[in-house]
Amino acid sequence: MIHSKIPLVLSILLAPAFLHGQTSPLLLRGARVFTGEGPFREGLSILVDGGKIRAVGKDLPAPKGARILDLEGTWITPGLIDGNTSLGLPSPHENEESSEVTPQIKVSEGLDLGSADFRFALHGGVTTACVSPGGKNVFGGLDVLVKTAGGPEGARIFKDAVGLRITLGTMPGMGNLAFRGGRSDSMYFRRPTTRMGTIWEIRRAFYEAQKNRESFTGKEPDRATRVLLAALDHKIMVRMTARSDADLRTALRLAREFKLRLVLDEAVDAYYLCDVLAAAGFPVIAAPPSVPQAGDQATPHLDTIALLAKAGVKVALQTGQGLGAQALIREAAFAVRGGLPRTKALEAVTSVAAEVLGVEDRVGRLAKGLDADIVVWSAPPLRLGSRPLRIYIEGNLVHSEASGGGSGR
Amino acid sequence: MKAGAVAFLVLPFLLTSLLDAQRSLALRVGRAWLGPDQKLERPVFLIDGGKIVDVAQRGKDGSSSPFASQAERVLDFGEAVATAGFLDLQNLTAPPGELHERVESLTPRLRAEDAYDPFLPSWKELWRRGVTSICLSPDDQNLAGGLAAFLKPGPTEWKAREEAFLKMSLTRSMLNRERRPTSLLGAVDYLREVFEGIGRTEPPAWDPLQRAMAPCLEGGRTVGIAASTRAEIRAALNLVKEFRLRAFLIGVEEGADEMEALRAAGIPVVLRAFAPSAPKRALELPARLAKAGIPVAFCGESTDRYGLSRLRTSMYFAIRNGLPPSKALAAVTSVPAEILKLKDRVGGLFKGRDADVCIWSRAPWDPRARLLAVLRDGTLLWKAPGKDATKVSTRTGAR
Repeated sequence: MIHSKIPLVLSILLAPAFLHGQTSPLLLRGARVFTGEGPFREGLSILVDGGKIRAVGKDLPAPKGARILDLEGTWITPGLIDGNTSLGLPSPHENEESSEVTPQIKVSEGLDLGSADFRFALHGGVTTACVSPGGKNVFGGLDVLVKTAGGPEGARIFKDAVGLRITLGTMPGMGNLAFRGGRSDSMYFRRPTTRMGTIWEIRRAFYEAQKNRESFTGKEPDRATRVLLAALDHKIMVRMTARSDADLRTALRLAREFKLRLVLDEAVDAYYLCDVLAAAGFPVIAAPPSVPQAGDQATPHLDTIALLAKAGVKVALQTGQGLGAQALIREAAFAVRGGLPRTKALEAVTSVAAEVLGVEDRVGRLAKGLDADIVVWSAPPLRLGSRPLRIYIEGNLVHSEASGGGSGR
Repeated sequence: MKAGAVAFLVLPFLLTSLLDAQRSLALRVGRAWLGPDQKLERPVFLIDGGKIVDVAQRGKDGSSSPFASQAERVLDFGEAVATAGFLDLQNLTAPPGELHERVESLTPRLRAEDAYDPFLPSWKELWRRGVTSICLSPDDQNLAGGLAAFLKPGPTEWKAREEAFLKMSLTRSMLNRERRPTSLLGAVDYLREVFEGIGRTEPPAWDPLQRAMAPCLEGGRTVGIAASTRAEIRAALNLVKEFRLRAFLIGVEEGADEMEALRAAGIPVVLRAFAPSAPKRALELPARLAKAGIPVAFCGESTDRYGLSRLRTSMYFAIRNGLPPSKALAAVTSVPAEILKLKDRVGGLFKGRDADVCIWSRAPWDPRARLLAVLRDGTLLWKAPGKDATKVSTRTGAR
């Protein structure tokens, strides 16, 4: 009698572990698979174990004890990567405004990983998001890459200080004349107030950092200088937000002058200088193509991303900060409407985004050894009615349509 | 006129102190919670010089009466229940705006003691609610507001222990768009800059700010950090871990979402008074924290009558939502005493502690319980009017 109940007790105890798929290997088969490159392919199976992809190939044998999930009639992609967001921040433009130059500020310090923002992004198929400080400072601070769900919250930050955000244009100077009638000793009466002033701040900060290194006396420089030196030494990328034609050209000049590992952010007017950008060879995290307005008198064009890709520029996509963008996969569909091939659009939110952010060895493709971040779609993902049926992050099932939303946070 | 008013307020206390404090006292009650987990039936406390000198138990039939010959007076409260006087870990009783400096956000050298007014009528309101000690604390509007002062409020107490803890805040009410920091990111950065600056230089080179913040590092000075949201709680815990602060958190309104992180940190949590409209999730938080092994304390915080009364209401609501009564009593007595490293003085009715005693008609977490009398440092501080105060007998026996 007692013995007959043991399997029942065991199955109750082990049920949560099985739900999260961590105990035994998992074989996904029968779906059409986009591995991060090229078109969807039929007949590919994916073997997941220990949070990683162990194999991707045709007719993979199921290891002993593996669970087999037959997904015929569905489409599989790698988890999507959003190139720039403000998920989990109290405001879309979160900055420490007591100074214009705050390169040392880490956005991870103020991140609310329990925020519903992440859940919304996840339900749109996004498994990795780059969260960055706002654009109200010339040097905003350091970006962080986070998984949108799964695992203990601390573990969701998988790469901190991934890039240094610099904002060109009029945004950093906008509030600096205390034009709403502030006190004369207000910190908002400060530099910069013009485009020239903004660039002067950038040059000054980099020159000062270089000077500190040259006069190095054995003492470690302060944190701001350390971050600036890391940027100058190519240890971190420099993500420069430049919207207008003039600002884009300025960004290229600065990158040449300081030999930066530059990534252009938003780049709305890239439409006018595709060839120049292609020749410079810097990647672009493009503004969401569905948004018809942009700051700094830049002019959005629906076909900008298609033209950039055609010219050979590496383009990733973003939903941006407070821009009113749609879900990332819908933005990719807008890029397709603007002439970008479907495969390129999916690459822009998976493998290319991972390369631009420097994490191609972890995410962005379905390949052996990479994180098992997998989205199973009900239809081709760029189609309007398509929705994620199941989402895995590092092998854990974090969303399942059948279970009414999955395990969320 | 003013001097007359002061004399009117002070004289009764001085007289009471002179008459009572010098005389030894045997205090009898029906039951006492010596500590939150230690109950004693029919106890007698021998009180002398403001301290509990000894504790003994009477016989069931009243045959033995310890300390009757030693004490000069005997107060007999019949079947009443005694607990230690309550300790409010964050009290903000001061004129509006007096508990923060507006120009700068890092003001660790300020002392809340200097905003203390012993003659406020509010103190009597506190006594009537069983609160015998408080920490007068800087409020939440500065990143490091200053040093909270441990004191026993009212005209009879003039000494304050200035270094109860350093009050810090990461809440939104600390942010000010006209000074640094303007964001939580900036707040963490500012603190890191100061703490790292201390580590990078030698003491002679420290500026006054660094000198004031240095004792917090490596647990030298207790730090109370106000943090409400998930992001604030996480930021506070990261700072505590990084700089090895001896800290406790205040507020923690969204703590239910950060249980894992709080459990891992294991530092005490001080919860603000519950609003009657608090959601179930908030009301259940004390029980969840206690179950996770995290020390929980309550604070009254508000200066109005409604707020003051909520220290006991917090106990009541928390018990209704799963907190064991002993933990609720600990939350207003022994846990705050432990946080302040004052367990040898307050927070319990053990031998050698200050004679701060509340005498109740029933257990204090019972909503029907009435406070009958409050003794502080052996002096009868407050007594309920009318015959509910039970029998008080006085003898003049030889010592």
